[in-house]
Amino acid sequence: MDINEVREEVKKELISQRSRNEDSTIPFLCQKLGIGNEFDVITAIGDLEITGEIVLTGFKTVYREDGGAIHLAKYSGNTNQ
Amino acid sequence: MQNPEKNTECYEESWDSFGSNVKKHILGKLEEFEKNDFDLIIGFTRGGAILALTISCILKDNIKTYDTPLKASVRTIPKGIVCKRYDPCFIMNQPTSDHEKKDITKYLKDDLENFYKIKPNKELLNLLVVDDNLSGATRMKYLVRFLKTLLFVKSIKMLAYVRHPEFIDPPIPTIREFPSNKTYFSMPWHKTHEKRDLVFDVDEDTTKVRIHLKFSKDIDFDKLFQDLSDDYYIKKTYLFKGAKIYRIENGASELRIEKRNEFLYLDYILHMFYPPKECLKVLGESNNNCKAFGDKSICALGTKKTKATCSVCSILNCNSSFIIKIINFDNNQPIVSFNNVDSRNTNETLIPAIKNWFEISIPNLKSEND
Repeated sequence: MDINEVREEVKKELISQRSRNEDSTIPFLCQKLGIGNEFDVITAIGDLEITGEIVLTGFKTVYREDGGAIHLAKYSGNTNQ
Repeated sequence: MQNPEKNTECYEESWDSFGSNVKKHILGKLEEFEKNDFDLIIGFTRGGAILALTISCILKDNIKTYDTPLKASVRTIPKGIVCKRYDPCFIMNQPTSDHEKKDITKYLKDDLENFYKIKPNKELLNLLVVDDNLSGATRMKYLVRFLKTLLFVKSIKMLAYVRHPEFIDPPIPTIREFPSNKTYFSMPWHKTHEKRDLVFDVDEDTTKVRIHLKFSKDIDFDKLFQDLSDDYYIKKTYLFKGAKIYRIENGASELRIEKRNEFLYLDYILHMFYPPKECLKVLGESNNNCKAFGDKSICALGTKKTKATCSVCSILNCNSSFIIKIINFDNNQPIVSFNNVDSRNTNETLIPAIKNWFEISIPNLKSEND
């Protein structure tokens, strides 16, 4: 998929999640949409945030092998749109 | 404080289980390993080195074609004396620690090329990159990206002992599954730690800030980006809404630069935030007086500690030389200003703190309202 297609797929997925009151991390979006390169999804997220179509909704916390936290950004469609 | 002996959330792998799982994995895939014909196994730091050497020994003992000096040799990263180094920026928004990055970019290519030259018939190298316990796999991906640029490398495969199930891309084969009822996984050579995190002033904060750089109209942006691409990975450029977008990949964060007339707009996109190790406290502690970057920590510059502000702190400080290079590119520095990207959860202390960071980092900075 080229960057425009990835952007459309990410936007569609996050807007549909908004209607279900859900949000996604980038690794989850990669898997759900079958997009192999996470940087393509990151790029799409960056563009859609600037246009206001999606928003950062918070962080999901997981823990690494030394017990240290990792915070994964979560995104969803913008409810103000 | 939780008694580590009763830590029910951490799976503690034993030496026995580690050894037998690695051996079972290889013996179950003998044909595949024979076909892969690995010349070199590359492992990161102590855990990767242990796994690489274990795999090498098992391959040499069980597959005839590996029973030769030039097959399944091991190269650890970084090279030299193996020790546990202290690095507050380890796997934050850098692809690797400074020490590892220097080894990869300065020494690894020559070492691999010298190895390739002593092989009979000048066969290209088949490489296996391993790490013990993966989450985001940032440094593995960085290394593989580097290795793909080498003309004497034929194939690169990745293998990890285990990977956290939250991270599934790219798919990297693992020797064992992550236990379903556990939160984290400890290798036999690690003491089990309790869960640790930053101590936040405010739990949720989704503030995002955009940095505006207004240059003079005669700025040579082509030269600027050419200079930047010498040191930083400018992955892609494309057009979006009438502007040219540059995508900068640096480890776990991505920077996005939008070029519009004489403006550059610098955006960061949050993905994975690994807090600085020295700032981590056992869950339940209240002391949050940590400043991993000293006077240049964003929390030292007037903002509350939140996940959003700590992320910004790591992005700015780990990309500091990149940002400074842009601003000091031309004798005529740009005018710097900021805005909130989203108006919902605005932390009003963040923009002033970021402005302070810029003023400390760049003498004589020109900012809006000067």
